[in-house]
Amino acid sequence: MSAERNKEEQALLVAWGHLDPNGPIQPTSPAGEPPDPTLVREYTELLGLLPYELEPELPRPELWQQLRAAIQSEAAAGTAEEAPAAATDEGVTPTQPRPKRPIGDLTLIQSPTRHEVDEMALHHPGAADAVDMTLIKSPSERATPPPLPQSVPFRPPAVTRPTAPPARSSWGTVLLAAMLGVCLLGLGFFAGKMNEQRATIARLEEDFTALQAEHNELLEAKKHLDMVTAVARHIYRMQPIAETAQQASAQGIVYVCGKHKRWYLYLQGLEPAPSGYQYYLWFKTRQGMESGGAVEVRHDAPYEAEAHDLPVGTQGFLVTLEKAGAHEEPEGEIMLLGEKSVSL
Amino acid sequence: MQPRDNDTPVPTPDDDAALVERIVGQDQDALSELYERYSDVLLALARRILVDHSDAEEVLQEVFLQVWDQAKRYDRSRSSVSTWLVLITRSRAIDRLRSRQVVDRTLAAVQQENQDLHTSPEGARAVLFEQRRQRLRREMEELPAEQRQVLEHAFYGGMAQSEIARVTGIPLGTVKTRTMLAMKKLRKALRAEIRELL
Repeated sequence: MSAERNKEEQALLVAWGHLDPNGPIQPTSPAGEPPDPTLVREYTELLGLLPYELEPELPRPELWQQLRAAIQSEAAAGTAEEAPAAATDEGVTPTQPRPKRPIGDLTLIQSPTRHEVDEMALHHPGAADAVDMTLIKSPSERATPPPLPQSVPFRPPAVTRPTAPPARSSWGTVLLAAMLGVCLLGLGFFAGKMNEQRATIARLEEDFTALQAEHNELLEAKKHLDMVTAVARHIYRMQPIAETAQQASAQGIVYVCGKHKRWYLYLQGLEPAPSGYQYYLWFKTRQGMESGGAVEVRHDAPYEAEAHDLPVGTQGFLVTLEKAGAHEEPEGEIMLLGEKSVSL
Repeated sequence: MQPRDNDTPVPTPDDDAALVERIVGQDQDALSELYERYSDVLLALARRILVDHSDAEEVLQEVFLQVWDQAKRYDRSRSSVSTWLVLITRSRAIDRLRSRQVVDRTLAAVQQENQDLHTSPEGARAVLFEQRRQRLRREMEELPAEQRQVLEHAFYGGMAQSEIARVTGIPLGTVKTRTMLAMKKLRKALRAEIRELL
C-alpha cells in the first residue's frame, strides 16, 4: 500500500517537474524503479486541464493577422538567410528558437546607404527632399552633390556607367529577394493545398474501401435473399440421427433452387472435427452419393456454403465425419441428415 | 476567429496531433486551425498569469510562433497537444511575469482588474469545452481553500514549493502534502476528462 502511494507520488513529482523551466524532476526511487509512465502521463494531462477552469478569452482578430504576417516574414527571412550572398551568422541554428522581435518593428528596416540616397537624388529630383538627410552618415559627403534646379525635368544621367553598377545591384538584389519571397510564399501555399488534397484523397480512398466492403456484404445478402425467394425452391432441414458429443445441438438447413442448380447450406451447433477427422457434405441422388466437399466447422461461427453445382436428382443431404483425406463415398458416421424437403 | 458551432465535431487528441504534423510541414492552415481551437483557452491562461491584456496577447503570439518553429519537438507519447500548448503558454507567461517591466505593468493592471476583466461569453464554442470548464470549476471549488491556494501559487504564479512556503508562511512539508493531496483528488475526480486526452 505504502509502495503504491510512493509510486503515485513519484509519478506526480515527475509530472509536476514539467512546470519547472529546468525540465522534469528525476525522482530517486529507493527501489530504483522508474515511475509508472501511465500515472505520469495522467498527472501531466491533469496539469494541462487546469486552465480550462478559466473563462476563455477570444483574441482580437488582428492578432491572427499579425501572427500570420510574422510567420511569413520569418519564412522570407529564412530564405534570405539561406541565400549565400546574404548569409550572416547570427548564431541561430534551426533547432534554436528564433530571436523574438516585435511584429511590425520598424527598427528592422535598414536605412539606405549614402550611396543609395545619392543615386535616388540623381534619378528622381525632389525625392531626396523626402529623406531626412541628417540620418545619413558622413555629413561632409552630404554637401558634395550640387542642388538640382527645381525646373530641371527628369533625364537619364549623363554619367557613363559600368556594365554592372554595384549601386544598382543592391536594388536588384532586393527586387530579386522580394520576387523569390513571393515565389516561395506561392509555393508554400500550393504545397499546403497539395497536402490538403492528399489528405482528402486518402480519406476518400478509405471511404471508398468501406463502401466497397459494404457493397460486397449487400451483394452477399442479396444472393441469399434471391435464393430463399427464388421460384421452385425447396428447404431441407438437417438433423442429427444419433446423439453424439459432436452434434448434440447441431442443426442445419439447405435451400435448394433446382431450376438454377443452386444450393445454400447453413449449419450451426456442430463441434469442430477432432484431430485427424474432417466433416464432408454429401448429395444423396438417385444414382448414389456425390461429394459436396469438406466442411470446415469453426467453434465460434456458423458454417455457410453455397454453389451452383447441385447434382441432378438430388434427394437429400448428409454431413458425415470422415478420416482426413479424399473419399468417394461416405464411410464415417452420419452427423446430420436432411432427406425431407418442404417446397415453398 | 468565429465562435464554433455546437454541430462542429469536437477535436480529438488524434485530430490535434495530425494538425501538429501538418504544421511540421509548414502548413499555415493547420496552424490557423490549432489557433482557432485553443487560442481562447491559452489567452485566458496567459491573462490569468500576467493580468495585462497586451502582455497576454504577446505571449499568445510567441506561443504560436514557437509552435510554428518547433512543432517537430512535440512528443505525442508525453502529452496531448492541448497539454503541450498549455505548458508552453504557462512557461512563457511566467518568464514574462518575472521580467521587471512586466511586473510593474502587472501591478498597475491588477488595480483595475475587477472593472476591466475582458471575458467573451461567445468564446464558449464547443459543448465539450464548456462542460470541461464547468467540471474543472466545480472540482477546483470543491478543493479545500488551502490546497487550492497552493496549487494556484504553483501553477499560475510559477512558484517553487519553497517559494510558496516562504510567501505563505506554511512549512515546506505542509506545502508538499497539500500539493499532493490536491493533485490526487483532482486526478480522481477528473479521470474521465484525463482519459479523453490520452
